[in-house]
Amino acid sequence: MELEELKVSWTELDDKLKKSEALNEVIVLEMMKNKAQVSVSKLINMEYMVLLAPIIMFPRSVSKLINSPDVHLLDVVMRSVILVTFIIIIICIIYNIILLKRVDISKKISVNIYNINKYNITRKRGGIIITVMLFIMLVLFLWIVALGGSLIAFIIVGSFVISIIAFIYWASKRSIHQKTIDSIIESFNEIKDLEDKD
Amino acid sequence: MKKAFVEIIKQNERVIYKICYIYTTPELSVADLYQDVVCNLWAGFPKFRQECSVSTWIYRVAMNTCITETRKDIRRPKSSVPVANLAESLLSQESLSDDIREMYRLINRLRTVEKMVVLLYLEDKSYKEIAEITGLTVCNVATKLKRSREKLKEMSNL
Repeated sequence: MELEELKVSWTELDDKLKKSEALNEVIVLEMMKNKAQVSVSKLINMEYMVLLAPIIMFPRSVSKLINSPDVHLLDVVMRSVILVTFIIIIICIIYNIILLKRVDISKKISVNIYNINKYNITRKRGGIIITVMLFIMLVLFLWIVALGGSLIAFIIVGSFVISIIAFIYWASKRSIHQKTIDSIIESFNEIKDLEDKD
Repeated sequence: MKKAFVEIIKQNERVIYKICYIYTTPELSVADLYQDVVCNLWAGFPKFRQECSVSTWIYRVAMNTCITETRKDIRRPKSSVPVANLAESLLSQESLSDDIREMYRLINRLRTVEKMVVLLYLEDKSYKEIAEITGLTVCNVATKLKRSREKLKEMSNL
């Protein structure tokens, strides 16, 4: 067989493929679904990891509140606020995990889009509540420092705490977590487009 | 980005299929190779900077993937991408003519680089394009093609 004869067979194979319309976007679609599912699992793991900190701190926070009867009223308020913040964080994370667990790639994609959007909104709302609690804690903290220390110490500590909160807020805005969520939402929307086309 | 990728795959699916078909072995089906090629294209897509044409990039990735996969002694476990439907959707061996099967038999007896060069020649690529895809010089491409031509003639006379 000459190379030119091979070319004829090659063209024949090409024609067969043209006619068959057999090749489709199954792999790409499955790959996108798989990638989205992996990202959702990653988010669930992240939530579990975040859940660890308040769960560990919670008993300590409770015992501090109960076993310190002689402290200043402001201290009691501060500790109560911390305790409430921990409770809110735990509830938020558990709810987030429940929402993420509902995401199942084998189910209808619109249901998954709904769940992941709900998770995104809940997470943002949780963030706002926690920011408010942190702000209350900051005010209380500065109040306590102002009552017990000099003005310079008050300004230094206050500026330091504000800077840290500002940094955390900025970092969380650009976090990998948010990027992962955006990427999942984008994937789901594209999967939906592809499935609608079929 | 994903839409653009799907579009590229759709436009080049026949090319990918043909390359995969040539590199199939009894242990390695077209479906397996096709999946690996698409996965590697997907992985490399964000880094693809249009330094060469899309078609050249696809040829390079497809050939490198097929060569790497066929060289592996032990097949790695497949990714979790379920491709149950894929094997059914690709052309079955039985549906191919004797000429195509003979072509497959002959090309498969060539050495890896010769196979690559012949495959691109069959795709109507110029010597310059073949050189660009394979990384060989134009002279080298011409020599390899000449040698492959002789080999094929010899093998078909057997």
